[in-house]
Amino acid sequence: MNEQTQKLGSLKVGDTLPALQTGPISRHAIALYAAGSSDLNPIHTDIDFAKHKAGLPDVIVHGMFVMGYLAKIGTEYAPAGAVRRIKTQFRTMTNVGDNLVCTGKVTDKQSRDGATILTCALAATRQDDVVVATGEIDIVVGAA
Amino acid sequence: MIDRSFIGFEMEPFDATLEKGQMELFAKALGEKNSIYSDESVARAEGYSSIVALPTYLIRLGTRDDLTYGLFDKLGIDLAKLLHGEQEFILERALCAGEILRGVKKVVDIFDKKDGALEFVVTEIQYHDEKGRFAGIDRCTFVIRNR
Repeated sequence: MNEQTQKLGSLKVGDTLPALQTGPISRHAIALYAAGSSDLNPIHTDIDFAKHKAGLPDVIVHGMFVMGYLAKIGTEYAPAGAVRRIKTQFRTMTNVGDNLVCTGKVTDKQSRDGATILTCALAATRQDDVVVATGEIDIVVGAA
Repeated sequence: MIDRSFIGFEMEPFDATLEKGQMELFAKALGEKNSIYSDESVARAEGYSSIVALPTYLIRLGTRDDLTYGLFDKLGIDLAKLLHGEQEFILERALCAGEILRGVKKVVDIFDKKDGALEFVVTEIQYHDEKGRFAGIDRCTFVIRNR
């Protein structure tokens, strides 16, 4: 068991994981995510489509970019393969320039199939305190 | 309204390779700091055959014109009304660059709320590895804004 796993393994229900911040999300960040994920849906990549076809003021951020950031709560502090499940509900659109704080709070810790699994509630909150996405992550923190 | 008889509709199986360059770009796009997801030497030192896929990278494998837009066309979904409502990934183990997974995409549910103003389509892709072992699930809920 490495140091990362030991740290996570010592967390109890109610504890929080270190928060992550996206910083203001630029069109460049959206373009990079479109390239990395191959999700080139015009609602994310074409301002003319966003305005005139989808009736939006601008392109919107991929929901999956937000989920990817939420998943970092489980990848930056745990070894590869530790994240066994992640679920996200996209509650509202994320816009260009939004700055999200991604948080995780331990809601459950139990032994399952010979492993200890930490379940954390996830939330991505906008600069004006609107929660744009919520979710849940299961992280293996060691053998039972 | 989407034809409810599509519930249970299963698409042709497809093979998807976890491509290293694409995985590196994906990790970069998310600003991932743990280099096991982007640096082969780090991944190998940890005992993996190559860089490891981020948990949400599974979305990339199922993002293909035939699967994504092909299904929207078949169901008659207008892209301009489409939103991503919910997403879940279940991962059996760490997946590495170079692996080939076989996926099968299925429509598991279609329902509506607010007198049809919002319709929901739930799809699921089950992935198995080259040895036929279960590797993971991509479960997605799309929302269609009809009004």
